[in-house]
Amino acid sequence: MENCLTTHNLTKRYRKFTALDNVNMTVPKGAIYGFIGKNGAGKTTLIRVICGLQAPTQGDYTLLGADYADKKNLSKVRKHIGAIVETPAVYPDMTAYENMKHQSIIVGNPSFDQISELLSFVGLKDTGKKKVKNFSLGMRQRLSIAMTLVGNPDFLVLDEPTNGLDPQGIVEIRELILKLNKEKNITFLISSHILGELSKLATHYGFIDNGKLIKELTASELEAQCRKKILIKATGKKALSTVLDKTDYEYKMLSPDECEIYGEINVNDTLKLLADNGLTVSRISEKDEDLETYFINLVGGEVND
Amino acid sequence: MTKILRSNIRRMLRHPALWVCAALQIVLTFIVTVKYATTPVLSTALSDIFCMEETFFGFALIEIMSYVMCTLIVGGDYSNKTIRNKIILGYTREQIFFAQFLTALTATLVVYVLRLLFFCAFSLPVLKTFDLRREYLLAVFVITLFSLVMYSSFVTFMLSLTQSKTKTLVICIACFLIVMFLFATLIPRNYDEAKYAAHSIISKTDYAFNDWSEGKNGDFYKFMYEFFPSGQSQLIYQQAPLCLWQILLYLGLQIAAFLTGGALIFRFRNIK
Repeated sequence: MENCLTTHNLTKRYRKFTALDNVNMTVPKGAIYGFIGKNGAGKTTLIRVICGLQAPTQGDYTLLGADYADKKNLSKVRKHIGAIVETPAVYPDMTAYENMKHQSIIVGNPSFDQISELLSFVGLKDTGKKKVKNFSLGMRQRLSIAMTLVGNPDFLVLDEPTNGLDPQGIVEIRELILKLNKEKNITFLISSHILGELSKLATHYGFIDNGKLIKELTASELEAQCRKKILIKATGKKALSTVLDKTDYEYKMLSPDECEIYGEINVNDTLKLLADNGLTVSRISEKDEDLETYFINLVGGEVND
Repeated sequence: MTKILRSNIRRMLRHPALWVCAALQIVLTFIVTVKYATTPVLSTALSDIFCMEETFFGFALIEIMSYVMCTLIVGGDYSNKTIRNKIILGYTREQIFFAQFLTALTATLVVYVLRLLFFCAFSLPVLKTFDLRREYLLAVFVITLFSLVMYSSFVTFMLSLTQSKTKTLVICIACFLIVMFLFATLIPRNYDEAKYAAHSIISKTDYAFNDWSEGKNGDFYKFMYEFFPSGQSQLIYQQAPLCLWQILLYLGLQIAAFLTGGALIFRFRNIK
């Protein structure tokens, strides 16, 4: 089995609203798949559908080798996946250990021996008799992850796992995911709109907008596609944009005196052009396009005229 | 399904609602027993009626208590979203639904058995006027069990429909009040004393309901007796000696409808 998840024209409609529109997605085994989209793009809907919480309107998917149509097999393979959908699903009036115990019973583990080890793994071994309702959000997230690990899953689906966390909590979750991927070879599907965090984690990316999967690519392909840009600040009698309009550069004005020029350009020629037009360059720097800018450009963010 | 049921039962036994409900039932049984034991007996038949009501239908509002307790215990899965954990692990909707129903039923049975044990240990020796035919005892016991199954199935049905603990609680209490209002107030008491006395297997003496109509105490007792028992238990109690099988059929149809409907609704429901 090369892929943990493959969707085929997956569609989900709620009355007249189409939340997912013919999504064809592939999550390779061993990958950390970053699933990126704006709020309301369809990320959580897709996760709900593949986790069995909702049925697709059209299309199907294959999960760990089992087809959606094969209910019996699909039911069996679901024991090898774990998921956190939106908020952590835990019992607030119980301790971390008791929550893990109940999860162990549901999973069908014959003993509770691994519970302490799992709680240590996620950094919750010292919670003792503290009830989950008194946990911070980060602690609940970690407990949720521990609960998903009870069944020794091959595939974990995390829906915005860093939502609402402080910077330290975000780092902790990130390190935990990388550790699980490396040590236990668990495949991840992580949805997020915090692109900076995903860029530090993901090996594969899927971009979704208005229910449609716009692009799917690996981290190396993304790196190759992210464009270089030159940041120039120049002042003078003529407007910077007026001078740049005479060229065939793709650029974006950040302010009347500052612009970003995309792609490869001849810097010497550009500086000469600006000088010839009476502009004095006060700042020039080179930057790579980051994931955020790439995504915004992909889904149609601000562009130059 | 046994794994989910085991997990549910473990949580149920730890849930304060179960033990508060059981304690409340026992306390009310105690109060009613003491109150009745210290009040002049109006008639032998009336004492038997109160005993019957107390024992098998829970003068202390067993129906509404069951709704509240079951909603709090089983509804927690919806409010905490922990129901997702079971679906994600591959359990079918039917397995989850029936595990919830059986959990609710177990909770009501635990409370009922505890109350019954207390009644036998305390109330019976105190009242001493228990004069009932075994056949009727058995019939009412069976009706009580059917009633508890019906209450549990209704709560599970409402939870699958609303997916909300709060909405279920409001709807169940509203249904309880509507039924109680209908049977206690609007539907005239079709009470043919002679016919009832002729068929009654509780006691051979005449009913002394006429005693209630005298004075303020009489009005109060009559109101309490008519209003306090749950709406359905009042109907059941009235009709049981005359049409037992109809009562069982009535309850059975409700149970079948709620379980079938609830399972179907839950099967196709989008879980958030």
